[in-house]
Formats: sequence, structure tokens, C-alpha cells
Amino acid sequence: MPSTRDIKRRIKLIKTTSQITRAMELVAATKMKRAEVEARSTQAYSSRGRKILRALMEHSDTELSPFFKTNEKGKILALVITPDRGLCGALTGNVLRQAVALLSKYEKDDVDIMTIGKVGQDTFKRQGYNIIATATHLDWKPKIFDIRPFSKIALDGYSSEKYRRVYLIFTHFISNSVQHPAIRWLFPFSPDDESEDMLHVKTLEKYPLGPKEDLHATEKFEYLFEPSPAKVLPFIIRNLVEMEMYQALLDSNAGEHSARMIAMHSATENAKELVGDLSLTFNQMRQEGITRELAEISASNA
Amino acid sequence: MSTFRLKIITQEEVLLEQEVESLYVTTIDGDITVLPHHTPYVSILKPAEVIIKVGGKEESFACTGGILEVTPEKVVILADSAVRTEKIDEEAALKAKERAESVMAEKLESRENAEAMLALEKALLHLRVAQKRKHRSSLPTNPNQE
Repeated sequence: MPSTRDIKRRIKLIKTTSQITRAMELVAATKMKRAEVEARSTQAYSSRGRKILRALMEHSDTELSPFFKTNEKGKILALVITPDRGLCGALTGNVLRQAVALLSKYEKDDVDIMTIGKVGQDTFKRQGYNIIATATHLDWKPKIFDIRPFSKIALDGYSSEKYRRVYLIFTHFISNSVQHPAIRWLFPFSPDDESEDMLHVKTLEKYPLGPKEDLHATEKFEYLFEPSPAKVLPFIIRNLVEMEMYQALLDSNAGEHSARMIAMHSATENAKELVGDLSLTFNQMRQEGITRELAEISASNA
Repeated sequence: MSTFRLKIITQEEVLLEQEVESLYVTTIDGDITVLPHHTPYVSILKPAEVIIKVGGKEESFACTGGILEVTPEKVVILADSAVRTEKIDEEAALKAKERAESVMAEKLESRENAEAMLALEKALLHLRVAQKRKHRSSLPTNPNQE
């Protein structure tokens, strides 16, 4: 049976902890607002970019760019975006679970991994994967420059047939309360949807570039590139792929801060409840003590 | 007059989505004017002024490069950044230019340099477009000046 002193100490401890979680909640809320604005503001650009890429694919000769081809040889490349720190609920675990589920179907030697975020980096290092590029602590204000080294590796790797597939594993930010882990094909642009790797992954977005129906596919036409496809396509593909990866980073970032805010909010609420419960026990015990003492005093008087 | 749908999307927002009569842009291949029923077309835009015509009136934007896509349904400009010319703050652009130049003079790290370069490019474009506009619009009202 704990004494009243023990309970008092526990109450104090919980109160201190809840002050910390409360502060973290507020910090996360501020970061979340900013991250959300950033993730949303580039959405129009990146989603249109995806459509243009898809349309370019559909409406031009596959010989025009190495990115329009499906590589048969080469390794698998995956960019995994996770938070740097924990305390954001199930978010990190969800992303990593998806990543591991997908990558475990390949031989470890067959996979190269790039990570953004400390948690992902540590996890894959522990598991003995070949990590070829990492970045940490981008969370506060990721810039498009931050993604450039990664997009360069992906683009160069695919066009030189070093890789046959490039995945993007990140958190899809839908709203402050809903974030899904997502896997997106980056290359090739038109994967075989029925291929076996896809079957085990639940939240996979099968159409990396948006469903076909969305597009102006109703009419058959071919784009005219000026000055020439060789000059225009590399620039556009590089830019749009970069944007796609940047959007994934912004989404993951907004998701992380939302998840952390919610996790910290519920921690603070739990702390409040605990303090309430403990105060009740404390008061009861104190009252019991007083009653007992009174009884002893009156008994000795009698 | 027939029109077509134009969408200008920047990395921050959808700046414009409306029916226009013509679009004048500068691609890496030279200046072009897009009219309704243009053939499907893709090109790269240089940092320059973009002029649209709506109801016979011209509207001007300063656009720091991007992608131009013409489809049978609409025309899309994916711009790194774009702003209406009348909203350009010349003083701010001048300051931005100086700031960018001083950063480029000091720091040699490639990333910061690249950032400053972009900022400088943007500031220069804003100044150029704003001054061009001012010059042009001042002609009919004050023919005696200059």
C-alpha cells in the first residue's frame, strides 16, 4: 500500500511530465500549421506535374527518353522518408512496416536505400541494408534543394540502368487527423500493375501518376516539343520528379507534426486523468488517516 | 472572340485559372503567342514577362521560368514562381537583389549559392518586368515625357 507521501510524489511527477507534453503539443501545433501550408501549397503544382508526366508518356514516342522505358536490369532503389524523432504515435512504425514489407521481397544485395530522417536510417542500418544516401534534420523547413541529391541519384540511376525500379516510401498527408503510409513508384512510369510485388502492400498507390481517366486521354494527340524533345524532356522530367519527391517530403513532414501533436495531446489528457484519479486516492487516504486518528483519540479518552 | 482556358500554377498556389484570348510567353526557343486551337505543345519557359489578353485588355505577369503545356483542352503554365506585374514591389526587389549578390560574394557553398542565384534571378526579373511595364504604360498618358 503506497503511503500518502508516495502518491503526492507521483502526482507531482505526472504534472511535470504533462507540462512537457503540453509544451511539445504546442510546438508541434505551430510546426504543423506551417508544414501543412507548405504541403498544401505545392500540391497543385505537383499533382499537375504528375499529370503532365503521365500525358507525356501516353502521347509521345517511348524512344524519346530513357525514363519512358521499363528497365529490366539493375537493382531496386527506395527512398524512405521518416521523422527524425519518435513521439509521434504510430506514424513512424507504419511507414517502416510498409517499407520492410515491400523490401523484404527482394534480396538485400538487390536493394539500395536512401533515407531521410533518423529513425529510418537507424532501422535500415540495423537490418544490414545498403544505405547509399541519407539526410537528417530537414524537418523544420525542407527546401527543394534538400531533395536534389536524392532526385539526382534516382534520375541518373534509372537512366543509366543501374536501377530497374525506384520506390518512394513516405507518409501521405490527408488531413491533420489522417495520415497514411504510402508507397509510390517513381520509375518506371508505367509499371505492370499486376506484378507480384504489389500484392502484399495494402496502401500502395498503383498509379504513381494519377489514374488514366483523369487525363485528357479522350483525344489522341501527340505533343510537339520545342525546340526538340531531347532538349525539353530531360528538363521537364527532372523538374517534375524532383517536385514529386519534394511533395512526398513535405507531406511526410506535415504528417509527422500532426501525428506528434495528436500524440502529445492525448498524453496530456491522460496525465490529467491520472492526476485526477491519484488526487482522489490521496484525499481518500488522508481522510481515512484523520478518521483513524480521531477514533484513536476518542478511544483513549473513553 | 474565341478564348481558351489558361491555368498558371506556381509552387505556392494556383495563380490564375480563366478564359483568355491570347497568351504571350518567352520559351527557350524564342517568344511565342498562343491563340485558341493551338497544337498540343510542350516547351520550357525562360524567366520573363508573360502577357495574357482578357476582353481586349492586357494583363502582365513576371514568371521565373517553368513549363508550358498546351493540350486541346487547356493551356497550363507550371511556373517556379509568378506574380502579377502590378504587385511587384520594386524596392523590395532591389533589396532582394543586393542581398542575393552579397550572399553570392561571401558564401561559396554550392547550395547557398544556388539559392542566392535563384533569388537574384527572380529579383532581376521583377525589376526588368516592372520597369518595362512602367515604361510602356507611361507612353500613352504622357507622350511629352522623354
